[in-house]
Amino acid sequence: MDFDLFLEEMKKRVPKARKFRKISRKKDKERVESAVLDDKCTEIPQTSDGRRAYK
Amino acid sequence: MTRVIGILSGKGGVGKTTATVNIGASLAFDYGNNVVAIDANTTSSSLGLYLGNHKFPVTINEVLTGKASIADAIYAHPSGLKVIPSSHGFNGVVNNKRIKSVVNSLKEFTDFILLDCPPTLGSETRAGIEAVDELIVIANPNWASLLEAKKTIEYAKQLKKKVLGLVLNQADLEPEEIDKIKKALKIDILSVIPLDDNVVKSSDKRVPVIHLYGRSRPARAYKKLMEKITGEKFPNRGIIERIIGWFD
Repeated sequence: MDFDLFLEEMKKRVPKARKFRKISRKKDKERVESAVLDDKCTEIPQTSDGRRAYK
Repeated sequence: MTRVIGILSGKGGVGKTTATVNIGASLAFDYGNNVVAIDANTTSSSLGLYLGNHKFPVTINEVLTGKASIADAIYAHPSGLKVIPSSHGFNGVVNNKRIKSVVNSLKEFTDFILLDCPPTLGSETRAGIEAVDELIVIANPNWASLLEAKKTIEYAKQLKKKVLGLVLNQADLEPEEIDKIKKALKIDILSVIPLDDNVVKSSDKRVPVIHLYGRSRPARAYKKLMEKITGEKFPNRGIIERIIGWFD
């Protein structure tokens, strides 16, 4: 199978995309705002060097 | 007004993601901005990995396929940088055209949005370029990389995007060599990041070199780059660093 056919096959396997969830709803917008501005999101775990660099 | 900056290269493996994490972490930690870095490379991701993790429950892939909200794909790095990683698993080809909607949704809450774009000028990259206003092009000092960078710059200019300049990465060059590249590509050289073990070590430790080895040569070159991007002096420079800077 050549690469173009492989890609076509993979595209077919992707489930039909749902409607893109724009953050137009007030609740979604507030969640994005608190994630970006108030750190209300999951923290990326750090190595000891990372913790040292940002202590 | 939010600045949306794409980090591009043309050729792969030249240091786009390393540049993105250093620029993003510095804009957030040193300059105190609200910054979101998005991994626009949905098929071959690495941004999350460079910042300390490889397993994210929700990524940009789920957002672009409508399975999750943007809010669930935002993660916090201790520098203050917010990251939207892409998936490390292969879940099919994602339609990246929606990345512009993601960017637009975040503009209201951010000072800077950085897009770590994929190499080449394929559809993923083109979607990334269309979503940004400004571009930084990264290249290594070899003609294969510079030619690909030139193509990227020409394409971005066709789309009327502002190209801030070129960053020469892994480069130990004489001033006349830098000038030659500048003339050949007709572009400003924003910074020359030297080839240095500290970059490799900091990548292994998942911490941007600008913060882990702040006085190293690449960190100082990144600080100069930050001054070019922001138009402001790099903050909190200690006396030792300033003395070293005089001899640069």
